[in-house]
Order: sequence, then structure tokens, then C-alpha cells
Amino acid sequence: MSPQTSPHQSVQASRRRAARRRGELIFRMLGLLALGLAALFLVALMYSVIKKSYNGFVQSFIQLDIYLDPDIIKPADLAQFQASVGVAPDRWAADIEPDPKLAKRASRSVQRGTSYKKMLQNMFAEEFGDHFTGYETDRQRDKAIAQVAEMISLEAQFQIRDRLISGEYTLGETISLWALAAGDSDVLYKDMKRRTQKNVDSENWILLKRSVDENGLSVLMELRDTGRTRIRPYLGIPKIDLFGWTIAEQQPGFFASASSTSPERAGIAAAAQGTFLMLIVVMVLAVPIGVLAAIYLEKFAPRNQLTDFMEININNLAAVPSIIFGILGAAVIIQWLFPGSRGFPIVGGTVLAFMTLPTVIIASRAAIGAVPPSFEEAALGMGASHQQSVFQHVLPAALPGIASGVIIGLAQAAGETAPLLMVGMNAFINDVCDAGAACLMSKGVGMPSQIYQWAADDDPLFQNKTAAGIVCLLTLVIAMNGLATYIRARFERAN
Amino acid sequence: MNRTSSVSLQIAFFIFMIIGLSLFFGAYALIVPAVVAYIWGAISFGQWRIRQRRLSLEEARQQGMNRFGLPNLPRFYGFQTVLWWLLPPVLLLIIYRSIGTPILTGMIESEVLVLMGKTIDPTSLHEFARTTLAALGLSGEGSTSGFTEAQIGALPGLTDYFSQQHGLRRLFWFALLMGALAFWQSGPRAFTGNQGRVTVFALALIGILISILSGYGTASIIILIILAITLFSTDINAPFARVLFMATGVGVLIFLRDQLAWGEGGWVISLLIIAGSTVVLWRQGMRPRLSDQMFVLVLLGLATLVLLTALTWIGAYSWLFDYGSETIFEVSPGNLGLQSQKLLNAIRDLRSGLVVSNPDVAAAASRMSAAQDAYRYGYLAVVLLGIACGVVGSLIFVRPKHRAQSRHESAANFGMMLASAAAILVTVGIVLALLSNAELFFSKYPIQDFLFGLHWSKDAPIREDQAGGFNLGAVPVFYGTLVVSLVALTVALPVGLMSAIYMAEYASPRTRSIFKPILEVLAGIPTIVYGVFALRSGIPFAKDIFGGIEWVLELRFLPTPMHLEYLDLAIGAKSGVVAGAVMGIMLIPFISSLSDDALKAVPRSLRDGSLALGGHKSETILKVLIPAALPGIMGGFLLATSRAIGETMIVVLAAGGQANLTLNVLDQMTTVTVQITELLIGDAEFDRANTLSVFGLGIVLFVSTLLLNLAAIQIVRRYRQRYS
Repeated sequence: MSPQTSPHQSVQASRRRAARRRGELIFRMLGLLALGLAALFLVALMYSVIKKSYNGFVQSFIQLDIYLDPDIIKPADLAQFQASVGVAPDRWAADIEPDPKLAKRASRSVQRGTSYKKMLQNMFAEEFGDHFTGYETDRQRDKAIAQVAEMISLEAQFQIRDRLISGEYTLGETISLWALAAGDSDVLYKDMKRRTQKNVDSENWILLKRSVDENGLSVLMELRDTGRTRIRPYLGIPKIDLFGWTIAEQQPGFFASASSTSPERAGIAAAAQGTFLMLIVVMVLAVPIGVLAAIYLEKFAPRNQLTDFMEININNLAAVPSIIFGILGAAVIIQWLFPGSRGFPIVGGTVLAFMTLPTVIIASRAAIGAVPPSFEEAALGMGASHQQSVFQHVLPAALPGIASGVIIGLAQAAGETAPLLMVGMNAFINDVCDAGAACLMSKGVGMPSQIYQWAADDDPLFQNKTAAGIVCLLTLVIAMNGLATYIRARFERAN
Repeated sequence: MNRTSSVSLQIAFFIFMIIGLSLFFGAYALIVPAVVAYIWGAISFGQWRIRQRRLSLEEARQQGMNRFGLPNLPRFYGFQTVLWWLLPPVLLLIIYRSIGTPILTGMIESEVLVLMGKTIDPTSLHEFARTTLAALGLSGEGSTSGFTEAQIGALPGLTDYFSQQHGLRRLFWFALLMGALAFWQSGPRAFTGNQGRVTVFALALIGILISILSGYGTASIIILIILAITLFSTDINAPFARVLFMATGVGVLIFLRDQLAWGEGGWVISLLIIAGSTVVLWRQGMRPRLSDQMFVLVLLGLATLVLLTALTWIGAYSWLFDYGSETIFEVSPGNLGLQSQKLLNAIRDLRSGLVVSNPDVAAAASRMSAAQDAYRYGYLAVVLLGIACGVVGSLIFVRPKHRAQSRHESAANFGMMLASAAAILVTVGIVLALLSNAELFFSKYPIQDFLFGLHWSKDAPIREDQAGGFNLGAVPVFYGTLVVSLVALTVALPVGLMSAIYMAEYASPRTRSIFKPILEVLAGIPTIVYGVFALRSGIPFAKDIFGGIEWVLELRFLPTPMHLEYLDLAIGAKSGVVAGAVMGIMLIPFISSLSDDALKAVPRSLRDGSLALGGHKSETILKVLIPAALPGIMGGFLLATSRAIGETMIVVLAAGGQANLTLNVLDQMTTVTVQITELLIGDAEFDRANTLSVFGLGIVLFVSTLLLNLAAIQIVRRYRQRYS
């Protein structure tokens, strides 16, 4: 066969072929590029979050030797206060009669922060007195010392106070403790560790001018050089009860504290509790209703216009923006039905349940629909009623699929923020609720809204806390999604 | 011992048990032995009836009788019977509690006030209690203002007190006890195989839920361990069941010792009672063992009971107040606290037979303890009355001539229909909330000004005399929403579509196993995370990029740089285009999975036809697959648009709140969702036009997403019909 007879052998044809092959390659590369971009975005997101979160989990600590001055807090006041709050073994039998007038003065002396601040200032004045020179009056010098004492977090004061009240410390002794550094000095110290040379242009240093001055810097340098500073994880232990006996006392830290105005003390515990409570509400509300509705629509509903409408309605509801559900909560639940319930986890959970309901229904319907009809037919053939065949044979077979749908719905609810903002679950909560189920009906905050609060703050330490909070939230959500995927994979293999 | 005497012995034994326990323990503890006695009593009653007919258990069964001496009916009758037995006592108890407890509390208060020689209005004391509870966060309003420092200092102790004395903790033990009882009675059979695992799972879940709500974190971990053992052991046999039961028994004993005031004596007595009753029943030849079905019924009844009690606990303020009043007296200042403590101590002393020296206090205490006793006996009476009602009701109403199964099934059908209607209710709620408030808004602010006005400044004037005030022309807001969504879709559509194509058509199984989880993780990331990413990483990054572009464009590297007057590439603290781009990333997996579905739905024959004619893969995809899948892809695109319009957190954090009607997408842009968030985020009162505008915006948002969704659903439906 000569080359001229075949049109496929001509020069034009081979050029066309080359062009087509090139087109194929380009198209393929574009596809790969798209996937690569998606992966790149994920990596960038994870990197930016995880890098910052490290400094949210660790904090700087400063070792202090503090003299618990009996001149500042009188021993009599302390005893009176201990009696009045019932710390003494049997407060009604204690020697000291609680006297309302004395107790008032005692509590002012023991509880007020200035007492402990004064002890701190005395310590700084004594140990680092040579840093504060060149002041004209003593008052100016005291002011400068007070300014430097701000480098210790409020948490340390509370720690001393609590131990003093509980009797662990006694007045008149010199205690040594690793005190949590305040936010600004914490950022400064971490920065100092990172760069050997002081870089005045750094964004952090400019910000820090707010509270850490030159004196503070030199004191911090000396503390560092004498090995009295360290960076440690500040995770904390939540309180653990076993049969009414407390086996772990609460230790403050990121996982055990609530939010706070001072960034170093802020933790995720209250938010995690709120999210947990809301997920319980979602589970109690959305799961039974959603699964029952799915069974009905898939197996029992007559094919008519009403059912059609229900179906369209559910499909639409699945795509309604979450913020609309928030408006529903704000207007219907808070404005009309239960005024004063703004910010309660039970309200937030209800709104999230509304939002999750269509997801649960759609996933459950798909799972029920995937069960082979032979299951049902066999049961019907053996004389079971329609309901018996569905509930005893189809439903158990569909259970894994339903479970994975439910878990995905819960993960979605756990990460949703906008409805929480609408129903007021973004309040500043600085205490972990300790009232069991009654926490459902007290003002709360969820993990996403807590992250939103922190994210809006420009303080670098709050940004680290934001990242740390995001790591917690992502761990939760990704773990839930992974569980759902695992269950579904096993389910598919089993069928 | 003849039969009659053994029956009377049994009856006497149960009566002794109930009365004795009611004397020794508080009313809460009573419910546990009462229910135990109740179930045993029912069984012994059945035995008695069978013996009256001079039949053996086997003969009775052959005659179609069950162990309750009743005709052996299908389990729906059993279900109804259990409901009849359980509901009346529980409902009566709820009513009794919610009436009785406030009365008792009020009595304590008035006695204390008399002791103090004061006539304070009791309502003021209630007020104090209520504010204290509010300060503890037990009800919504209230603050710590108006308290002395000592009181505030004592509040944490009070909270502890509350958590220790929680009613739900008792419920936890109760549920555990009931579960173990049912477990024991049903024998190990119900716990083997798959059904058994599901049962144990459900049981443990109930336990975990209650224990967590009641603050028993660790207890729930123990249950989890039991659960894990149960789930992963292939065969659970009788010894395991017994061990579990014994562990529960130990738990009950701890409960009795911890929770009851009579300390050591309490658990000795309860141990004796449990042992004694077991011996008595055993010697009678009774081995109470329910069938699997009966076990499920008991479990259902238990769940109802627990749920109802939990509901009352949550609902009834009085339950909290029961403990609350005692505690509040403790923290209340000065003389009041001392007096009430004196009274409480005196009551305790009187009960343990001591003499109280102060005659006034003694009189008050004896009055109070009489009242408390009356309350406890009343509790007992109510339980017995409820049981009687239940038994009589079940005898009257649960009969073969009633069609139990069809009634049961129609009730279940109705319940399922209600559940399906819930979704409609949600939609109705949304529409009602939006419409009624929007009507109010449009009566204050003309609708045409809202929809077509070009100026948006929502802040109300600060001073009364200030002219103008807010402008609620929403066009800039709509414009911002459209621009941001457009940017997002420009990013998401090509990337999402191309990645779907690559995953479906080109990727090897290994590549797919790498990229599929990546897309799934991207899809699962909460939007707040994207928002923070946009704000903290996206905007600085964009600043650098656009700064660099500007630097190049303006030829700054030349000795005499150009100045481009009309080009502003500066990015501020917030930027519409960054928000849009990050939103685009968020939408990639969404579009990818929807296009994937659409591509997969194209029949194989179309693809094979194109390939057979010599088309390359890319040509097949571009010229055959995509045109064929276009409706599906369009549907996905519309859904993505609807999501972009409704997306909130990314734009709240990164797009800004300033309404700019500008062509510069690098500038701040505001969207409908941002405005809604900013207006509603505080404690908004819905009485001014600017806060009410939320509902105007909400309606626009809802209607536009509704139209998009409906169109998408319709397109996808038709498309499915075409190929299937």
C-alpha cells in the first residue's frame, strides 16, 4: 500500500494527530493542576493553622519567690475568711464565729487582687531593685515597678490566693512557684527565644510597647539569663469525678479553662462543653425525628402531591443558608416562644438540629433505599406486617448507613458558626459551667463561636489561641467525618 | 407451709419492704426498691393466679397463659401492659412533686423567719433565692450585682453543692440498676449475637447520656469500657453477665452509702433486703426470667420512665428549689443562715432521738419533721395509688378483643407522619418569622427604598437631634454579595470541575486514594476555619501579591517610576476578593462531588461510542460527556451559587462591613449575611427599622436561595429521568 492512498499518513494528518495528542496532554495536566491546587490549599491552610497553634498550647512561666507578707493579709482576716466560706473542716464547729462585719473586711483583704499584686511588687522591688534607677521620686519608681509586675498573669495571683485559703500556703513563708507569664511578656519571651538579636521592627515588638517597657525587658532578660523562665505546655486537667469522689482536681490550662480577657488564661473548655451539650440536643432532636421521617418517606408514604411537596421541601431545606436557621432561632424561639433564652445551649442545639434534620433525612433515606428489597419481601412472605418487616429487617440492615449520615450531620453541626451568633451563643463566658444538665439552660458558647471571638482580636496571643482552638475543632470534625467514612466503607463491603 | 400463708408472707414482705424503706430513706431512694418490688410483685401475683387454678407453670403455658397468669397475648399487648403499669405512677409522682416540694420549701422558710422573730415578706426571700440561682447560671437573667463579697465568694461552693446533690445522679444509678435488673432477668440470651450488642449499646448510651448530664464523667468512661468489651467479645456468656450485675450491685451500694443520710446503716439494710428477698423468692421456686421480648418491653418502659423523670427534672423549678432553699440558707448572710442551719440541725437531731434544748427551735423542728414525714408517706401513697390505677387499667383495657397490633401500628404510622411534618414545620417557621417581621420593617421603611436605594448605613443616629440617620438602601449590599459570589465561583467552578473530571476519568486508583481524602477533608472543614484563614493568612498574602504586581506595573524598579493614577491595588484590612477566593476554595469539593455525580450518571454507551469512533479521552469528555452531563453540572453550579450567597463566616471575617458600590473588587465589600450578622449579634431589640432590616435582608436571601435551589432540584430531577 502506497503512502498516498491512506489519508492517515499525510503530513497534515500527523500534525493533526500531534495537536490532538497535545490537547489531550494539556487537558490531563489541567486536571492534575486542579487537584494539585486543591491539595495545595489544604496544605497551606493546615500549615498556617498548625504553625500558629503551637504557641497557643504552650505558655511561658516565670519562677518567683514570693514572701506572703502577714502585714498585707492579716492572719486573723484569713482565718475569718476561711471560716466564712467553709474551708475549715467543720465551719459551724470552728472556734471562730463567723461575724458578718468582720467577714466583710476579711474577704476584702483576702480576695482583693491588690493584696497579691502588692506582694509581687515587693518581690520585684527587692530582687530587681537595681533595674529601677534614675527616678526622681519614690512614687515614680513604684509606678515603674508596678508596671513591670504586670508581666505576671492574674492566674498566678488566683493560684496563690486559692492555696492560701485552702491552707496549702501559710502566711509568713516565702513560696517558690512557676507563675504563668502575662500575655504580652509571654509573646515577648517566645519571640526572644526565637531570635537572638532584638528586632525592633517586628510587629510583635511594636504591639508590646503597650505594657512591656524597657524595665520589663531588662528584668525579663535577667530572669532568662538566670534560668528562671521556661516554656511549657499549658493544657490543664478538667475536673474528674468518680462515683462522687474527685480523683482529679481542676488544673487551669487550655483544655480546662474558659475564655478570659487576658489571652494567656483563655481556654477552650467552656466552648467545648457548649458544643458537646448542643450536640446532645441535636442527637436527641434530629436523629429520632430524621430517621422516622426517612422511614416514612421511603417506605410508607403514599405517592401523592403532599409527599412530593415534603420531598422538595426537605431538599430545599438542606440548601437553605445556615444563617436563615439562625434568624429562625432568634425570631421564633427567642423573640416569641421563650424570651430570655438567648445564648442557651439548648436553643443553639435546637437550631442546629433544625439545620441537621434534612441531612439526616436524606442520608437515612439513601441508606434505607440501598437495602435489597429481598429483605423486606422475605419478611412479608413469612407473615410479618409491613411495619414489622421494615423495623425488624430493613432498618437493622440500613443502620450503618444511617449512622454514618448522622455522624456527618453532627460534624456539620459542630462546625457551624452563623446560627450560634444569631441566637447569642457568642457571649463572653469566663467560667466553665459546673451544674450538669442545668448548663443547657445557662448562657453558653460553642467552639466555633469561641474561635470567632478570638479571631476578631488582633492580639498575637489571641491569634495563637484561635489557631489552637481551630486545631481542636478540626480534630473533632475530621475525626467524626473519618468515623463516618469508615462505617460507610464497612457497610458497603458488607452489602 | 401452705400456699395461702406463703402468698400472705410474700405480700407482707413487700409491704414491709416499701414501708420500711420509706421510713429509712428519702423519697428518691424509695423509687428504686419500689420498682423492684413492683416487678417482683407482678410476677408473684401471676404465680399466685396460676396456683389458684392448681396448674404447674408448664401446664399454664400449654393452656396459653404467660407467667403473669394472664392469657398469652402477642407482645403488643405486653407493651401496652407495661405502659399501663409504668405511666400512672410516674405521672402521679410528677404532679405530686411539683405541688409538694414548693409547699415544703415555703414551710421551711416561714419557720426560719418566725425563729428570727422577723416578718419578712416570704416573696423577698424567694427573690433572693431566685437571683442567687440566676447568678449561678441556673436561669437566664440576673447578675451578681447586689451581693456581698462573702456571698459571691461562697457561690462556687454552692455550685459544687448543686452538682453533688444532682437529682440526675440518682437517675443515673437508677437507670443502671434497672438495666441490670432487666439484664439479670432476661438471662444472657438477649445479650448474645447482634441484637444483644445493639441492646447493650443502647443501654450503655442511655447510661452515658445520663451520667454525663449528671456530671459523672468517669462513670461514663467505665460504661464505655464495658461497652467496648461487649462489642468486641464474640460471645457473651452467663458469667460475664453475672459479673456485670455484681458490679452494678456494688455501684448501688455505693450509691446508698453516699447519697443517704443514714450512712452505714443504710447499705446494711439494703443488702439484707436484697439478699432476703432473693432467698425468699428462690425458695418459692421462682427463677424470675423474662423472655427476650419481655426484656425489650422492660427496657422500653425503663426508657420512658427515665425520660419522663428527666423531663420533670429539667422542667420543674421546684426540684432545684428543694435543694436550693437549704443551700441558700447556708450562704445567706449572718443571722438568717445561722438560724436556718440551726433549724436543719435540730430536725436532724430530733430524728436521731436527741433532745433539742431551745424549745422554740424544737417545736419548729418537730413541726418540720412531721411535715417532711407527711410528704414522704404521701409519696408512698401516690406511688401505690399509681400502681393500683395501672394494674386495674391494664386489666380492663388490655384484652384480646382490642386489636393491639393494628392500634400500635397506626399510632406508629401517625408518629412517623408527624416526624416527616417536622421538616415542613421548620420551613413554615422560617417563612412566618421572616414575613411577619419583614411586614413590620416595611411599614417603617418603604420597600422600594430598601430594594432600590443606593446608600446603606445601618447605624442609628447617636443623638436625637441628629439629622438623617440610617439609610437602608440595600443595593450596595446585594452588589457586594453578587461580586463576592462571582469571585468564589470563578475560582471554584474550573478547579472543581477539572478535579472531578480528572478523578473520574484519568486518576489511577492510587492517585484517587490520595486525592479523595483531601477533597473530603476540604469539604468537612468548618467555614469559620476558612474565615480565619482568609483573615489571617489570605489577606496578608494578597497584600504581598498585589503590592508586587503594583510594583511591577508602576515600573518602580526603573530610575523614574511611573505612576498609574487609576490603578489602586492596595488591599486594606478586609477585602472582597480575598473572601471570594477563599470561599471558592471552600466550594471546590462541593462542585467537584456534584459534577462527579453528574458525570457518573452519563450512560456508558455514550462514552464507549465516542471512544470507538477514535476520540481521545479529552475529546470524549469535552464533546460528549460534558454536554450530556451539563444539566447535572448546571444543577450543581446553582447549588454552589446558593451556598456562596448564603455563606457567612468567611465574609464576616474577611470581606468587611462597609457597603461600597465600587468596581474595585480589592476593596471592602459587604454582603447580605455580613449585615444580618452585624445587626443581630448584639442583644438586638426588634423595634427599630435598622434592626428590623435583618428580616428584609433575610427574605431576599431566603427567596433567592430558594429559587436557586428549586431550579437546581428541578434540573437534576429531569436530568435523572432522562438517563434512567
